[in-house]
Amino acid sequence: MSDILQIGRSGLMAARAALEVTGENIANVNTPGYRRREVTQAENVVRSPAPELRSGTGQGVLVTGVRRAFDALLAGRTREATSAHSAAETAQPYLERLEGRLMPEGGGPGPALDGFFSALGSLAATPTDTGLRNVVIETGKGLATGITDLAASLRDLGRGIADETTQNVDRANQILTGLADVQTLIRREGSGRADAGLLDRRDALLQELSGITAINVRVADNDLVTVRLGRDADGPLLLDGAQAAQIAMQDDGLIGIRPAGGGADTARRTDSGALHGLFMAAGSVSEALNRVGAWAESIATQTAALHATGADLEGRPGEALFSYDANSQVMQFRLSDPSRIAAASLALIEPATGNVGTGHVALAGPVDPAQLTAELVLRVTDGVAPSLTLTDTAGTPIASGQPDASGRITLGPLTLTAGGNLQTGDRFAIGAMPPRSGDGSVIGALADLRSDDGTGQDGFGAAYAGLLADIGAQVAAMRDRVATTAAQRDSAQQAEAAGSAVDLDAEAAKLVQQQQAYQANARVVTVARELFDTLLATL
Amino acid sequence: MTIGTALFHTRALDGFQRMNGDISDLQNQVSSGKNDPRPSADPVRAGRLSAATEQQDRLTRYEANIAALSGRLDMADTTLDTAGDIMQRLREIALRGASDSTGPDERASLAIEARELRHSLIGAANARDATGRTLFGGFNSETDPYRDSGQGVVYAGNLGRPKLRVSESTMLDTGLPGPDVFGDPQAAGGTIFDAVDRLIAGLDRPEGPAPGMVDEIAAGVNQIADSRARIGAIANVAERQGDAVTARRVALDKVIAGLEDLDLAAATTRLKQLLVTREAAQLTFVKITQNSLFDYIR
Repeated sequence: MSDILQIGRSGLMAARAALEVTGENIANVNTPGYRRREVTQAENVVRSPAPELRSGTGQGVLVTGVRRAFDALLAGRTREATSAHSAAETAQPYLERLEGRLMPEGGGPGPALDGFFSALGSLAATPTDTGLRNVVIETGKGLATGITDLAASLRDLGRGIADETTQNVDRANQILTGLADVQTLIRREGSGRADAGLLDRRDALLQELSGITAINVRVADNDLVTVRLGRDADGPLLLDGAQAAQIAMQDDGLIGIRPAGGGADTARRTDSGALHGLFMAAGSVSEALNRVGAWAESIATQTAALHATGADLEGRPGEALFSYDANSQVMQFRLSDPSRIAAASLALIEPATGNVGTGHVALAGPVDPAQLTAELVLRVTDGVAPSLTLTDTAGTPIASGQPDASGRITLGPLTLTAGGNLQTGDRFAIGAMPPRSGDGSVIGALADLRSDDGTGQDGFGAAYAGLLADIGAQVAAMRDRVATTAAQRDSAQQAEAAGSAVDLDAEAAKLVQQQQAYQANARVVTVARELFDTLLATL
Repeated sequence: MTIGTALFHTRALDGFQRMNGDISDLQNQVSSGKNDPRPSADPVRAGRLSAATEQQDRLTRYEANIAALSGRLDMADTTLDTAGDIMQRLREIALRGASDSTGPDERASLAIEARELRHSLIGAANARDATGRTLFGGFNSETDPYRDSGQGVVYAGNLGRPKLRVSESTMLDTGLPGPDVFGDPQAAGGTIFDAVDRLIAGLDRPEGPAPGMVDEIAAGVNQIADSRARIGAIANVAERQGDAVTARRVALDKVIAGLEDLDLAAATTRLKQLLVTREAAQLTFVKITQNSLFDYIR
């Protein structure tokens, strides 16, 4: 008789425990890292030592524990997918910002480049116009400022990435310390009996850590985990028992690991996680910065080389238009006096009126104007296989030679290009360019540098477009990567959630079932009491 | 497969955010009428577009150069037309002056007219273009190239020929230097001005200019006409280049429009489709989440 009461009571307790767990599940429906729990129960079998007393039935139900729905394999897969997605997702906004900054809409130097070179082109048509010369100076300053600002913005972007890297490293170290604390508690509770909440906490921390870097996690039978850096099982140890290593990002992009128990630091590249994403973004930004620097440098040197062959309004050779300091990444436009723009060639080269051919000769390299104070004469000694001789006005030869395939020839102090229909006996008088010359050949050649000038070399415009295209391709690839890794992460999460997440409908159904069980067991207890009362009444 | 209530909500939220992002991107494109200009949106299109706009910039420069060039050449043509008329009249004066029937009074008035014409001829030789640069001074573009000194008219310019780029491969002269038009001071006959001075000196003589004077002036008339033809030839080339540049620009504008302009019909259709999808997703989300089993537990 007391058996029925016992059995009813055990059922009542089991139903109540199940209701409590279901309530817990419902309460934690939105708690990150929470995994569904359920009561495990077993028939309570009592083995009486005396065989004649065995009734052939058990003694009710026994709550054996609370099972936590957790699959280490699926959790590992989710962590791996999270790392991959986190890398792409962290890098993408930086790459987008990089691309945006290079675009004209984001303040990139493209329009400033166009403005400067179109000012040079306009000046070529009216080389002595002071107004247009001032436009060249203003647009030149604009281009230099545009490039300097761009370099500064890219450095800022790089600093932002470094800051975020530091934050991630700090967070990773906090997580590792937190994991060590949790492991201490788990160990204290003993093998296989750790509180589900503690394990939830452990797995949530591991999940968060996997967003920062790729990790390899191995769960031992005693619920303790060992964590290694990287996907592989042979990576450096980050967490072993209650011992947590500390990490630091090195300048070379490797992650330095200081082992918990002392010992030598190791360094390892992480190929996944936010730290890897930040490393990729930093690489793109610094490559872009280098290319912008090289571009600025080529603008400065190429314009300077050409400008040096020109004469300013007073006949002086042109000085460098731009300066670019590779260390501070500052570009400056150096001219402020409009008359110092050397639009004309340094040499005035006049074909003699009696020339038969229509060939042309032009200065192709810098020359000291002092060399041109006494007039020189260039004679075509052979028009078929062009041979040229430079003489003074008295006819004394100074130098002679044949132009190379591109028409270039160096004779004495002069580097010239000769081409067109040169006829034997043609002469060219070469002297200093008079001041305020209407010649715009040098400024016109400078304007040609903007675009491909037919020598097969990319102009400045195309070089910049190339940089922009490369960054654009990186952004497009990263966008695809974000989408694919998101899909992989979603499916991993979905697989894990199917086994371990809380579904309110399922919990509601269990609630009904468990409530019924509770009511039924309560009824058993009541019956037991009534049976007892009946028995008492017969006495 | 059940995925749990929390993940279901997270997924739904992600989906809405993605759709809203797509809608706002598309809305931006529709409002600007342009495709997304970023290379990452379509690297191939951006590459073509950048090459095309660079070529467009180049054509703009050639157009400006051709306009400047044509302006100068037109001005030179008009000036040489005037100079030709002057020389024509001087030839008539030379003819009249050399004639035996011309008396000293008439010769004196012819001399006065010849001096006026000489003055006008110098003015023509010192003519300037719309930007105030000399037409016949070579690289000497600011000061008058022909000066009337005590010993006749001297050339203060040079033989430079300012050139402008009118295509990737062509540079054209923006005019002819004075000696090519009015004669080389070093040549045997000297310049046209020397011939005119000799005519005036001849008119001042009682017997009038030598008969050879008429031929000399006539040679000047021809020389001016030849120069005008040369200027005309350059202008022709410039005009042909201008036509070529215009044709290239039309073709290029079409290419750029194709690359840059948004296909509005496609974009609005896609926008409509996205809006419908979003609405459907929102409605189903509300429908699914508003009912849970808890509603039926009493």
